[in-house]
Amino acid sequence: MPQEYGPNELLLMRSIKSAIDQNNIMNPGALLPTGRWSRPPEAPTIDSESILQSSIMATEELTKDTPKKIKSSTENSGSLLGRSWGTVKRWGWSSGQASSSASDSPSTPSEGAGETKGVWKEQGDGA
Amino acid sequence: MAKMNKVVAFRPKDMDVTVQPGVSWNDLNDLLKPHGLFLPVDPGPHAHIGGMISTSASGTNAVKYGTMKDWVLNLTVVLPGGKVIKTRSRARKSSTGYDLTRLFCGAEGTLGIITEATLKLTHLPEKEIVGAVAFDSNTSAADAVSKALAAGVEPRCIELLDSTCIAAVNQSLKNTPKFPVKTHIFFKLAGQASVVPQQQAVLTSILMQNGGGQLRIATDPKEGERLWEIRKTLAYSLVHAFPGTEVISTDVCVPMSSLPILIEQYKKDQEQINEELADDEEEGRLNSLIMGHVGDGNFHSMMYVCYPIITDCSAFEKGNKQLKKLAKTLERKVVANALALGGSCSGEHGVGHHKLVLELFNSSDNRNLCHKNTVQMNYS
Repeated sequence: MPQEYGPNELLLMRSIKSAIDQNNIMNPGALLPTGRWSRPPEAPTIDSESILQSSIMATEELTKDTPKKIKSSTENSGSLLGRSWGTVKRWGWSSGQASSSASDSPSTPSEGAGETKGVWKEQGDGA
Repeated sequence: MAKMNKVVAFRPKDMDVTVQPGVSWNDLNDLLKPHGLFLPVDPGPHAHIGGMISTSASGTNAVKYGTMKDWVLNLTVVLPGGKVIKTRSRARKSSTGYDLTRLFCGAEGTLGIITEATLKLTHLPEKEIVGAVAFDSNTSAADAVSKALAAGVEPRCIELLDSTCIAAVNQSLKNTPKFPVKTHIFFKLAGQASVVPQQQAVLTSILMQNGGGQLRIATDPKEGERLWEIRKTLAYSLVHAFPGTEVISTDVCVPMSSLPILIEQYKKDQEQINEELADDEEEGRLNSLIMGHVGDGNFHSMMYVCYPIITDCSAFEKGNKQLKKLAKTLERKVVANALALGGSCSGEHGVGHHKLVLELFNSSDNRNLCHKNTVQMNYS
């Protein structure tokens, strides 16, 4: 488990476990690690980087035979949906999100799709 | 939970069933068969619904039908404080709230006790074709399957059995022609009668073009059942072939295209271990076999290390201890490689205590640690 999940993911799982089972009476000791490593994890004997890279299709390859070009969020900016989504992302949909949305999501229609970063790049623009 | 084995409600028009956790999936499917429906998740023959949900189990059908968490509509769960919850409605879709159902799927009983489950069902397929193809190596077999799936073939099951498995199978065959002792891909295609033969033509042609040979196709449903029985009862054939043997098994799962590479590397790592052992004949060799749900990128390697059937055990004791240690090393290597390839240490068996890879503190420390908001993972 500690090899497969990072500390933050394990912490979230542990928080869920603690919230539901405060006295740790449900199958204690299973699933979630509760101690130290008995030994350092084994190093991979495989060149995973090059293998993983070779399985990814280049973006140019992906779009070269596409008959109708998929519109980027910049091109969508003229539509009502594009404009509305841009507004939501600029100002957020609650006061708590307004500040983070403004700073973390530069992918507003006026700024272009290529400039996305952080969580927006990972997740797409959600439209 | 063995006594909670009742079918609570069967709703054929909604294609769902509510059951208690002690119901076996095999018994449930026997009840559903006359109604033309079934639960397509097929782990070991003795698995029960509660355990299948708690480990998010799957089996040979996963390549077409997915795993247990895809078939659970809702759960009734007793929480540690005694409160009883129902995770969601029986509707096929709901976009409301957190997905509590999936929270309990694969939780291995760490969050609550499942007392009832409503499961989706599907129609029994109209036609099935079962076949087997021989290959010269595990890697070429896995590679051919990867190509077939990428070409759009959708088998119900597609399973790899290496030459050791086939040798064990041959020992248990009585009135059926024996298989060449090579790696085999066993496949089952299922669906509408008009579609399945086309799928068979595409699948067999891709397998044969990519190193396959000695194709065996069941000519009628009875023969198909007999042929598939070989895969279903493989565990028993292995027990018969290696009586009393201690086995260390793995359950790694990787993205489909990485499976041939992972299997090849596993064999290389095993060979390297055996080369290091070669200087000392007394230590013997580390042997293993491979069987895989290759359509899902999931394979089990089984390293067999002890031979208590041999009367003079003491001569092997030292060697076996050493071999067992090396088998554990090989196990950790295959897990590290699977994770490096974007995979998982367990495709279908779950974590339990074994895959924590941890040295536990004493029980009181253990209890306290579980509720600290920090995860201690310092190397000792």
